[in-house]
Amino acid sequence: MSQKTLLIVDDVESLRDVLASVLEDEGYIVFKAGNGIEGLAVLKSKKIDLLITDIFMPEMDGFELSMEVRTKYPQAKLIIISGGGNVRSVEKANKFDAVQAGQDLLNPDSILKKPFAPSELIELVESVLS
Amino acid sequence: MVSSRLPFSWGFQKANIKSVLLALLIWAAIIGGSVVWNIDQCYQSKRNLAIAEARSNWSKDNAFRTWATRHGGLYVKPDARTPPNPYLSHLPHRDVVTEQGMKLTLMNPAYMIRQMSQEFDNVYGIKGKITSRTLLNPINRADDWELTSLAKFDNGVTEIVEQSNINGAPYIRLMKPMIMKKECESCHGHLGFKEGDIRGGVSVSVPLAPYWTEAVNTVQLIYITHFIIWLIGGGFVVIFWGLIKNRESQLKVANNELLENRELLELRIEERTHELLNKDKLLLESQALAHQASKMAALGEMASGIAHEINSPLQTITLLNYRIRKGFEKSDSNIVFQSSDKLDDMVSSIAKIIESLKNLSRGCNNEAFVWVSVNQIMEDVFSISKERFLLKSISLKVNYTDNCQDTKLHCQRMQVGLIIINLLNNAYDVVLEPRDRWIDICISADNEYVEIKVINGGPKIDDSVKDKIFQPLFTTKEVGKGTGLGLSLSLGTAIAHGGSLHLADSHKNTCFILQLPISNIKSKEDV
Repeated sequence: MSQKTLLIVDDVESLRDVLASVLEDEGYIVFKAGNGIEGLAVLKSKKIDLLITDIFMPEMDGFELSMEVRTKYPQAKLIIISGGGNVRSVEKANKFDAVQAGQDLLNPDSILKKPFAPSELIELVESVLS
Repeated sequence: MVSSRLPFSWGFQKANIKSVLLALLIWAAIIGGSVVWNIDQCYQSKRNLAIAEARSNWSKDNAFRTWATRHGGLYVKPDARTPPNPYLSHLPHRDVVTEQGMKLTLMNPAYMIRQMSQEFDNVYGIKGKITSRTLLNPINRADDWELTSLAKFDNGVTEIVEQSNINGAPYIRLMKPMIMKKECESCHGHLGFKEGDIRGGVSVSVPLAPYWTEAVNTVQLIYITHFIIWLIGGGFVVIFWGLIKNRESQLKVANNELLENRELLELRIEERTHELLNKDKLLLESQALAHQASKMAALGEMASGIAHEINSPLQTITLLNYRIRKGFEKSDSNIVFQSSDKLDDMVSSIAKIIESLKNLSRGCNNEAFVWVSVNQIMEDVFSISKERFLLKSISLKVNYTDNCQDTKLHCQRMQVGLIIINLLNNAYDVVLEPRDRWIDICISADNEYVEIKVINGGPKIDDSVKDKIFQPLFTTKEVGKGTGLGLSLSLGTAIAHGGSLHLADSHKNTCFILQLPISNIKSKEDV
């Protein structure tokens, strides 16, 4: 079985790096991007099996990126990491209610809410890719 | 209290029924006076006519008598109507016979006049008479009025005209003295009268009855015309009274309305005053509450920002910890050390956030002035609010002109930070449309001032509220969202620093400009 390729998009570098390390330890090939635009650039050049993206980012956010992926790269699986600890308030505060909209429109394979345990992440990635 | 005086009233007494009756009475009196005067004038003129008639009759009689006297009388044929005058029997030639044998008797003037007067009296009712206290013929005897008049002639009176009754009927009586002439002596000389003596009097009496009959007709006319005039005048009085009554009732209604309105107004004023006093009280209370709410809101904003800021490093720590454990399992010290170093970074990044929070919590009025770079202030600000803008996909950019980020200024670090946070929070509430979701912070500095412009994608602030936005408690935000204190407190802080905070008029978007002196007198003292 060939190694699966993952793309992690998050604007917080330290979190992005450690996420990548954790998943690399599990045997995946991991690419990283700081925002949606960088993420799209990676998608153009590499075949990505799973996109893990944060929603709120500068330049191009996770919502827009996911839309692109859903239309241009339908084979790629999608996990959305939602905003932060206070998901409810984020949902309410945001005009287009990104998480709910993400569920309805993008139909992501899973949503991971911060804070999550590393084992939770690993199990989820495994199940989405199997 | 309300004065009972009516707001409007006539200048004169109220038009009640009494005054109308009085007016009608006065009018009647005027008309009555006119009637009396007119009747009097009427009778006067009739009397004057009668007097004129008496005079002309008298003059005619006198002319005739003078003519007869000059001829010494006339001889006429005696008959039953004109017998020889017994009172002239003392004259030798009283009765003569013409050569042809015609008998003639003498008629002296008095005899002629008496006969003529009697016949006139019968035909015209005008009586003529010659009388004296010394008579030839007793038929000529004077009545009482004539006797009185004769007596007056002795005193030199030459004419007497009076109205007097004869047999109960009114007459104008005129009497003049009769002076003896030479020609008279032949008949009357034997009685002892000489030429120039007052022999007696000649009177004429004109009956007033026909004049009075005419006067009565005129008087009737006077009555009728005056009554008509009185009626017309009275009609005017009544109509005028009606008009006044009408106007009065209108006035009364208007006055009542006015009084009612006045009372209502006073009540309202009282109510409003009461309300205002209550509101004043409420305002003071709500001012205090708003101030408190503002603090709480700021705290909430901060807490929310901090939660977001801390969440990422916490998540990272969780993952790093997992990696360390994995490292131990694999006996890979590289992984352990790498992750452990990164753990330190995460801890210090959280510590940094907490430091900002601590600074903020210290951010009260007695905060010390310190030298701090523009960059440090902006880091304070972003460490607690950047995430919030990110969450809403609001682009938040900072531009430093001429690398001024290291320019240091002497200020109350967190107070200044709070001004910028406040401007950002306001912008956060404004930029709702996706195309407007941007906030630019442009910072420049010269030798004296640092200028921080906070521009957002929202439209220019309306002129109508432009002057009010710095007033305490003024807010354009929804109820419960804005306290109306942010900008006024920010302005206060800017002024306390010797700087300024104002709205840029010329900018097409909303643009606030905060100017702060690099150093001010107060800060120099502190240094």
